[in-house]
Amino acid sequence: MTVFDVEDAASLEPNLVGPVIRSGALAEAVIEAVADDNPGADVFVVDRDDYVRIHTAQTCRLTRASLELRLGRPLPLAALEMDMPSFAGRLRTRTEEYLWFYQS
Amino acid sequence: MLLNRDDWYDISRDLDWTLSYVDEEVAFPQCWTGKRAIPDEAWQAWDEPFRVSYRDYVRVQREKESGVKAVGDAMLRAGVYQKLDPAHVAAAHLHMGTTCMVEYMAVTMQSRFCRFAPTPRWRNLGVFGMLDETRHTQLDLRFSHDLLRFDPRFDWAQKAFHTNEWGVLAVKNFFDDIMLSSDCVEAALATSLTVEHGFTNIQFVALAADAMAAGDVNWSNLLSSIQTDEARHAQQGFPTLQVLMEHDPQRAQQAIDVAFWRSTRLFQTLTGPAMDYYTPLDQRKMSFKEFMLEWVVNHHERILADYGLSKPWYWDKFLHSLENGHHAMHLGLWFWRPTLFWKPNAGVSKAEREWLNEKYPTWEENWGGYWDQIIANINAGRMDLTLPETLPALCNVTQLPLGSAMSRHDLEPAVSVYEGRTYQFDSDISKWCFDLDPARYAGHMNVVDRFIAGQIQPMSLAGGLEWMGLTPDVMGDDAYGYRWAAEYAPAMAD
Ligand SMILES: [Fe+2]
Ligand SMILES: [Fe+2]
Repeated sequence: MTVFDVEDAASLEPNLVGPVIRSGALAEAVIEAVADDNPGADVFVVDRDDYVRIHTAQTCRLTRASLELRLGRPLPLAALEMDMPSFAGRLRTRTEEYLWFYQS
Repeated sequence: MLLNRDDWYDISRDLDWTLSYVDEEVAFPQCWTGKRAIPDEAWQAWDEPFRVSYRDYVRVQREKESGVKAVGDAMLRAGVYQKLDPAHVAAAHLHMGTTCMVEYMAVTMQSRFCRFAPTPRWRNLGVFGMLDETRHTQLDLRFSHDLLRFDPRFDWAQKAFHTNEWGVLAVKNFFDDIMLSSDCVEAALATSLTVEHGFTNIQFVALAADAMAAGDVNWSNLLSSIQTDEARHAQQGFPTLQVLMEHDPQRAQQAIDVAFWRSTRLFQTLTGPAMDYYTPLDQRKMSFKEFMLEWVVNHHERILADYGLSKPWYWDKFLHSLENGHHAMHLGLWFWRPTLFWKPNAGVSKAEREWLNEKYPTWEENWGGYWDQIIANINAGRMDLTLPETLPALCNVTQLPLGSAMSRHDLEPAVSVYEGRTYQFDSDISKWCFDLDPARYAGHMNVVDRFIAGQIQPMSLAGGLEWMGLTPDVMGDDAYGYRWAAEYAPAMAD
């Protein structure tokens, strides 16, 4: 797994899914947690200063356990919404896990 | 022990009752549900991507609110607004005047979901959407109220939709259609999916990034906080689309293709000029076209394909419009600046023009000549020639000027005759929208139709301005008082 910083989002492969988070500590923790929760997958990070795209190809998993570990404090996944103005792909929300994905 | 949300959610969201005192059709009339021939059982497949409980909702929204309030108060104390670039602040005036009351219209639309949506799961989520949109209206009003002492244009957050300002009428026309008059199914396709999932990101996330770079922390933070609600409640559109793709895919495709074009035209009017002309050059993150490629072409279209939808039939024309439409709209907005309630920046200094040509290789060929003439008139002291004497002919669907959708070469008329009246359009795509459902648009008179019919008196530009509610304290003029044109003056050229 590698975390890639990408400038030109248009050149990326079209199957990327995952959250868009307002810049800050939460975004940093989400990048690390997504890397933890998607072993073997490359994590593409597009940093537009005010917002950060954090994406993997086809499916992107984020668990509460990884997020809290990387953030260093308890945070229910529902609270992710506070700093998530958008996300790419379909979404499935459960208490312990959010999953972004495409079916095809 | 407290139950985990996942344990009780499936039961709670199906809470419904069997009607015994009234007929189903009376309690849930077709005209509001929009179910048509879709069987009742089909809605059992409606499964919301973004789960919400009232408990979580209140906790999260409370945090969002205190965050926005804290940032707003700090920025007010620091006097940030007074230090902003005058070109940039026009984007905030434009936003508050054209968007605040759309948020309020969205309250009504979400309330319709709460009451009439074809499944209790959706009705449940409509409650949160309704509270979200109430929050957005109130945030815009508070923001504008706080800044009213610095600029009377913020009064237009509340006032605009009670005037006949032509741009406001164009916005209102679209949202009257897809928010106030649409049944639940169509509103989900046109508003939740197309506007909220597709296009609002351009204004509330991408333009927010520009605004942050321009130092407008308060407005930027307000926009992206609003969009965190939009990202959640826009998801009401996807399970509805899923049901439609099973039972009536053609209706889904058509409703989305119409809304997609109308949204394109609207955001070319609101966001395009704000990004490519009003945002100071060194603070621009990307061009409007680049943001549209990121957010609409990639982010939004990819998920529609995942549900089995095709790109609109007019895709190539859309891409051509993406190169041109907002430049045409900007030129028109600036030229007809007395008809605006904000001060547009021309944005064509030599450095800005170089940037435009780099981002849009056909810019000079299409728009440079018009601006050269305007610049020559300014430098010759002939301000009268830079100002309009008449009004432009308007499209009977988008309400935007004819000739403002494509390049300057694409001017072939698009016309339909319906029940004896001739209707004109800004493109054959708008004509296609009209021809699909003429009764929906027919009879409406745009600003110029009313002018010609003698409803606006006196029949002069001054009469038009008065009718539009434009007073001298808010009337548009060049953001920098034409100082940018001096570098083109002959004396400076050599
Ligand atoms: Fe909203
Ligand atoms: Fe909304």
